[in-house]
Amino acid sequence: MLPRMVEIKEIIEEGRDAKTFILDAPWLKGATPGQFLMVWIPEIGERPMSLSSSTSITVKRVGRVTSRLHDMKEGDFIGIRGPYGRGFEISDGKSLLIAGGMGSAPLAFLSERVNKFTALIGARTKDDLVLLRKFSKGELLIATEDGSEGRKGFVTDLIDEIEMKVYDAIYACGPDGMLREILDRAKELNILHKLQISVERYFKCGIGVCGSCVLDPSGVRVCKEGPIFRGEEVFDSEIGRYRRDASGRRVKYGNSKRI
Amino acid sequence: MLEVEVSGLKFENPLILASGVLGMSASSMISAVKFGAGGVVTKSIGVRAREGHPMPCVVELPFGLINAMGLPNPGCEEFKEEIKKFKENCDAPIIASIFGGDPSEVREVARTLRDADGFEINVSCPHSDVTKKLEDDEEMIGDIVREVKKAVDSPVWVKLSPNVSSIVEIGLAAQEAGADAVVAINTLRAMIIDVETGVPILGNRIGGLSGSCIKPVAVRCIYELYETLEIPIIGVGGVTSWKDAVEMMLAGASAIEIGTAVMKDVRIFEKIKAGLKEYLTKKNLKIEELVGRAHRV
Ligand SMILES: Cc1cc2nc3c(=O)[nH]c(=O)nc-3n(C[C@H](O)[C@H](O)[C@H](O)COP(=O)(O)OP(=O)(O)OC[C@H]3O[C@@H](n4cnc5c(N)ncnc54)[C@H](O)[C@@H]3O)c2cc1C
Ligand SMILES: Cc1cc2nc3c(=O)[nH]c(=O)nc-3n(C[C@H](O)[C@H](O)[C@H](O)COP(=O)(O)O)c2cc1C
Ligand code: FES
Repeated sequence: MLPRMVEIKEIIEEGRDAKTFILDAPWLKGATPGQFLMVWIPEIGERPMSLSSSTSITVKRVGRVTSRLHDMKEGDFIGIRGPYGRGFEISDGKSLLIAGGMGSAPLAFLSERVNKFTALIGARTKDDLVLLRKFSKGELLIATEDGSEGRKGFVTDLIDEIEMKVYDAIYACGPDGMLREILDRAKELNILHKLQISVERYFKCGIGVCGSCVLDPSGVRVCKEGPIFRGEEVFDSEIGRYRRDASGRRVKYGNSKRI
Repeated sequence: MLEVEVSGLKFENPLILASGVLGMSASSMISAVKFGAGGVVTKSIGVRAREGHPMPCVVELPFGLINAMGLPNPGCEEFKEEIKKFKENCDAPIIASIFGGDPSEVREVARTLRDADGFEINVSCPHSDVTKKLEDDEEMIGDIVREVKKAVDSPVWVKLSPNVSSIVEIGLAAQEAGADAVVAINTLRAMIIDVETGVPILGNRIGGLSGSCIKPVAVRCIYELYETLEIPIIGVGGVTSWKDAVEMMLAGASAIEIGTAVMKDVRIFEKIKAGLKEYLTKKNLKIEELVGRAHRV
């Protein structure tokens, strides 16, 4: 599909560096949580963004394209293609949602579709917490690295405060280090099959043709067969060990659990 | 029943993964073989890492794609590992697609990647500053082929551009310089503009058209090349079904590469294999009897 120009209907500030953009794109109503859009700002660039509800994206300012997006106003237009990729499989039972940093975006969308849930949300500081309002209808535990809100530490530290085993489904999105720790813990408890994670890689085409986002060693395309994967599909993968940059070079993942 | 031999390389079947589609890592090329490919061509690799063109780098149309990836690649030193990993896990031939601005650069890439079973020299990517100026330069293409032939023992293929006044002249130049086969065709230079904003969509503005819409152009190029060349031709461009593969072989292709169609369905190789087998049985033909059969009439 070609990028389709849509109006930004509303912009909501999310803490210090993030904004939610509500788009006038009614055809996205059928999207599944976990799916993503390719967002195009003409003459500036195109980037992948998860849906944070069926008609919004929530974007952190990090570089050229996201900064330009942050400068836009309500009534401006951006191009989108999608929704693309495989979304979360939604469970009727009790769900555990674990988000680090901008990982809250797809899980906020998911929270609209699950019945009973506990959400573990982590960020660097209080000002980096986004979309908390979406998680308030469930049980909500917060961690910040500097202790400015909730428990001081990483979101994965919050796992010790709950019992992972009792949940029927576990959904996680965040940096690779966090995902690796959750994969390891789920493996230990023999519940990898209950885990679904949202994976980020360098996307170029977003439609499964260029090979930029492929995971070792299975060769699956994150943009096409993912970005949501079952725990057992990716336990043995490169996640948390290395990833590929825009040129395809392998970049080692640091030991830091930083989010 | 589908085995073919092209320039001394044996393929379990004639369907090969085309360059630039998935071939960035050993894992994705191994998965293509698992899904039935008889061999693989890697992403085009140069001497040093390149990020490629700014995004958007792909636009999807109802009948194909326009891409302007801009030859992103990790550089030949790092890519050596991927070839090694592929060879440890897979028996199918792996062809390294290589490019460079001048003969010595291309030779260096070939030397570094000498573990590959063969080489495909890309002188035909229509939106890269490096290869665009080569596509029509018979003399330069000849020089590159000679340099690479001197540097490696394995077969050397040359991938041709359709964006030239005579693809046959370029094919002849490659043959005279010692190429073991030609590959036809790379993408057609193309462009798309968003009418709402008046802005060209691709980051590089100009890209290359691939997919089912270019098949008739590819078939014509293969047909013309077969009339004049003595070396084998590998057909590529818009193959999405077994019928397309048969058509290209009838035009003169000894093997087929598949790119864009892999996007929708990695299992495409298995599907085309099944169709090919059925066709050969029905027509009571051997696979090599298909090659160039349309020239008899
Ligand atoms: C499936 C998926 C969903 C995402 N969802 C969100 C989201 O909901 N909210 C959000 O704020 N961010 C999300 N991201 C990350 C977002 O795409 C990057 O922050 C953005 O691309 C940065 O672009 P830039 O031009 O501002 O920065 P740049 O200066 O270009 O890059 C800064 C960093 O961003 C990352 N990045 C840049 N380009 C890409 C790309 N094409 N693909 C992947 N990563 C890239 C790289 O790590 C890079 O080092 C998602 C990424 C993926 C793959
Ligand atoms: C996303 C994409 C990337 C490509 N990258 C390369 C490349 O690096 N080197 C090359 O020789 N051809 C490249 N090609 C061209 C293909 O190998 C092939 O020649 C062309 O797409 C026509 O075949 P198809 O219609 O089956 O895709 C690329 C094509 C696409 C769609
Ligand atoms: S981003 Fe191109 S294959 Fe996934």
